[in-house]
Amino acid sequence: MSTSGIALTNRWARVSALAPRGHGATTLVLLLTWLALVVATGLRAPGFLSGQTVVAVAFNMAFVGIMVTGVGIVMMSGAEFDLSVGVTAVTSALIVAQLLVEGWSFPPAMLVAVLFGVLIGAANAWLVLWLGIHPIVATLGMMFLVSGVTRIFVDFVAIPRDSFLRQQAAGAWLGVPRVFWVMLVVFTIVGLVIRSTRPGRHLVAVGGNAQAARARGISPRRVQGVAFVLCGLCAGIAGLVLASQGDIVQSSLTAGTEFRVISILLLGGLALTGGRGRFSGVFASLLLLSTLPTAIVTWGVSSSWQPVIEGLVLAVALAVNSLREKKR
Amino acid sequence: MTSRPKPSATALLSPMATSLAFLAIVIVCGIVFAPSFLSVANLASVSSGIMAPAIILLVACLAMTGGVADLSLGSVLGLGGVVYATVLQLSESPLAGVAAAAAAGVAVGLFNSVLSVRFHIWPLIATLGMLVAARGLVSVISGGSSVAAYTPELSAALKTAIGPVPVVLVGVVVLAVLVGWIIRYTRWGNHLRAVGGDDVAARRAGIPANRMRMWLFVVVALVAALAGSLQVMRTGASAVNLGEGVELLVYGALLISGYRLAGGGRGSALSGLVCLFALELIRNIFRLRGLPLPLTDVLLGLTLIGAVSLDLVRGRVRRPLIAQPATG
Repeated sequence: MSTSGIALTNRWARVSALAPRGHGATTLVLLLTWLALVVATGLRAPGFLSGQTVVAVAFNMAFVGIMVTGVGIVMMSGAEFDLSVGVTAVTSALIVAQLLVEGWSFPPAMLVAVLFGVLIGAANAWLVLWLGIHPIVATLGMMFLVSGVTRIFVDFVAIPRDSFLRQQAAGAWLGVPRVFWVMLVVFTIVGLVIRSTRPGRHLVAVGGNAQAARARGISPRRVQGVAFVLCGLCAGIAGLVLASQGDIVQSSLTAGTEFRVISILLLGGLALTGGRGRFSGVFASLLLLSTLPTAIVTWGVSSSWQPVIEGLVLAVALAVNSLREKKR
Repeated sequence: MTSRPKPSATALLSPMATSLAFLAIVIVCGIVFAPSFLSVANLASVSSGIMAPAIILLVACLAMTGGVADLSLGSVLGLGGVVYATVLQLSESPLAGVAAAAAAGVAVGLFNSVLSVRFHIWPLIATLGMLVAARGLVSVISGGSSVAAYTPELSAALKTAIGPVPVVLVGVVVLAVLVGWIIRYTRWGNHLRAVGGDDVAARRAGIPANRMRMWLFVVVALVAALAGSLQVMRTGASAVNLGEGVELLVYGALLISGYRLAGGGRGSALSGLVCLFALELIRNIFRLRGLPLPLTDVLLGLTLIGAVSLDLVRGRVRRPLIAQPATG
């Protein structure tokens, strides 16, 4: 009797450690805010509640969401974040577009673009984990490096209309772009893997306390290195998503996305220092921050306010994250 | 008995020696690749062109000594420039323009300082939001195009030269000496170094570390905005991308000369200035050779990563000096 009682407490302790109080509340608050935003915008401009908006927002979510997944892995592992995802994604989109123009078939072109993402992720991992450069500085430097090199060679590429990418990936399923479902699958798998598999728990352990993880025989460097490489992989996939939309890929297409990615993760409840947070909150926050730009334009605010609002949202997200950590 | 470090190692530790070596390498490369850069007219134009970054470098060096690294400096430079130009157009009074730019700078500085100090967020991360927001405000205020603000007498005053040496260059060097003196020989500078080195220890010694940091944020943003209006006075127009990347240029230069992002370090204002001049010479050489513009971004990225790696090399050289087990 008493032993089963202890087992029960232990299990309960484990469960409550997996699902700390507050995460459900975070998700709920974010979803309610999103609902309020949608209702308010819909009342003001009935045209907002249209299939067109759904497609626009869903595409936004698909592109940003895949990068959020990647950077989320990095943040969870305690390596803070990766600022180079935006330019990596756009470069991989340019690569796939250029290769298609040159007459490559889709699968090898796709492979090259994704491998490029992996390469950048590995480079980041090397800079941060082996050279010991702080993640912000290393990935900021990488961001300038990649975008500079890319723009030396190519500024924009038109995507051939008859390519597999335009034919297949651009379509819709259940009224929502296919790429959205791709994002949803990637996001859900990563969320589940982090929550309930052994590698996922190692990731969380390293993010929560690298010293303790090392004492248990987990190599923080290896785990964080894998996190950076996966993040690069996600950036490469996001590039494919970007290339599947529109007629041309432009090097200036994603300016500022890396900052929105961080806002989404922090608002969604991931701790900047790693090891805490759940992907359900992140999804709610992705929904909110991807709807916001479209809603703002509907409210009649000039789109040049967009970066101002994104910057302020990032500041708020940082403050909220800091308050949450302090409460702990 | 401790062994003496090799002469080459000590040279790496001395900020001025590193900076001069860097400058020498750049000049040799310049002579090889673009001999025309040695002309007096070109050198004068380069040295007056770095006025705004140089002024920012001097306050950034004060702030960095106290452990404050502000990534929004370049955006605030642009904001100061565009506010000055717009107010000048409306009121026709340069004084009102400068006052407005100063007010904008102080507002931004207060925002950053509250976010970083009150919410305990590392300065580099806390200022990311403002990096985006202030740059967005520039295009909101200017409507996305450059604003003309030509005042012949001010422009001429800023362009005067004694022989081939621009007056502003002399002013900047004098300021650099002054900043170096403040940091090294005044009580306030002493406190500043204490806060940057170890703020817990500084607080125990009765130094108001938080208040000092808040002031640093405000002063840095104020001076960045003023430097922006000076830049516009000189050139007569405020471009939308005014000051883009300046923060990387400035922090790259400071890191090469021996400052550290986490605070402390052993750089000096003058050696930082030498590095800034060397970096600007590289950009000048690129321009003279007619190399593609994005190469500048590549340079900034490499500088940032390279400079931090240099700091790690320095750490390796220094460590044997501090904790020397008599091995050889």
